[in-house]
Amino acid sequence: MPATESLAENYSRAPIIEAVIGINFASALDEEKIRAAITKLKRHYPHIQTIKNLRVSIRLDGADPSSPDVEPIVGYKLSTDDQTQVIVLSPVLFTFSQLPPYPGWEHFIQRFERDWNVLKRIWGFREIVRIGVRYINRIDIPIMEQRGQAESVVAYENYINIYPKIPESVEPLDAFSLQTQSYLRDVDCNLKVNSASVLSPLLNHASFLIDLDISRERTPPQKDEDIVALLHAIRLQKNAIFESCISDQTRAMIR
Amino acid sequence: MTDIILNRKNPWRSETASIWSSPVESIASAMPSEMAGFAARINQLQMEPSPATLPVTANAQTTAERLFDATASAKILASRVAMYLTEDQRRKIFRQLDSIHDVNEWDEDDKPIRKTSFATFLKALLVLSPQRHPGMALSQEGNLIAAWIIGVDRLTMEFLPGDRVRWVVSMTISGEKERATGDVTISRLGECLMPYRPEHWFTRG
Repeated sequence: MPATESLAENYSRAPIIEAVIGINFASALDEEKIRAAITKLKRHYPHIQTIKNLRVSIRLDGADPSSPDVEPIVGYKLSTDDQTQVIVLSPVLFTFSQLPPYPGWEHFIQRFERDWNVLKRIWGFREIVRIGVRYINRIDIPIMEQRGQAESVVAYENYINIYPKIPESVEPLDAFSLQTQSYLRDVDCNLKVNSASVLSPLLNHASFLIDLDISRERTPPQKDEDIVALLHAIRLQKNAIFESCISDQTRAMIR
Repeated sequence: MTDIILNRKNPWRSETASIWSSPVESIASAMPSEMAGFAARINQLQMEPSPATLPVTANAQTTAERLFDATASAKILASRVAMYLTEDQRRKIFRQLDSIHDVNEWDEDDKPIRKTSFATFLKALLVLSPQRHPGMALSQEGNLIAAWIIGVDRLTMEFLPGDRVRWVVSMTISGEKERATGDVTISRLGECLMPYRPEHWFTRG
């Protein structure tokens, strides 16, 4: 997949509803170190909430396939006043999230580097087992209501390129959800794409998620410069994949 | 052509759709170990909750914590449609949310904003596209109330769950004071307000 700087994040109505960078660690951190990190980051994220039963699933090469490697743990969600910037800290996980309005990749990655440097100074070196970038997009399609009819039909395949192929005998759908998993050779990463219909927050619209999750679990980089380089490379791949998941009709809507 | 049908009366299409849930996990604990691995692989097919949507604990909360949780939920809802709001609109809405949930002014008998009411407000705002920003308040049940006041004329809307709006207008028309009220869906709101000149309320003079 040719990577691209493209228009993906530069649309005036960018459909990004959450951008996430996630880093999983090999070993658990003690509560004291997590609290120290919260204290340092509090000036950027003044609001702190506890998350119980935070489930972290890590696929480790050679792991016993019969043991589901998930366990409930406690995490902390830190957020800004307007709730657009969020981080989640737990013993084995750091996730870094941006809600709309999306400020652009440069601003997003600079904020990540700022917070990552704070964590590195407190935590020191910790072996990374997974680095991932996830962009959740929502495509909102206006529909024309048909007077006198309780239901309206939307031809979603005119707007998105990833959806289930079904026989006519089961049409029309009330909803769908599908996931694909594949490998991106150019960045040596796994790609997970979720496409689903969702309730629209807008009146007279049908909404569809295109959720792109690109991650490296096999020998992820450990040095800061290599981590950032990988994130930049993943971002270009993500842009190309997103562009291939939408039609020109969608581009015209979000331009 | 493959189509999707929008049936608004479909009860199982909730906002927190089943795509975020992991029903397989509850079954896995009862399965033999070889099946648990199968369950784990199925779990990987689930769409994982994003950081912003992770549920936070809500036990033994102080008033300030309750109010923060309510306004935080509302702000996250607003972020979902931020691409359709101006920065000015967003800023004003957030300032008003914080103001009406000021812990120093809070009455313990009041209820903080209901997410479902705020969702209706956002939908209505995007449909009406008012240039004038309304004043905001809360009903006793936690429904958002918006008011446009021009001189002695007043339009008030209470945003209810389920895309319903209760509105009251008091307006001087041809020298006579006229009052009207209604309880309608958002899709009917514009039509119901037509006799009362929406541009009078929503357009900057």
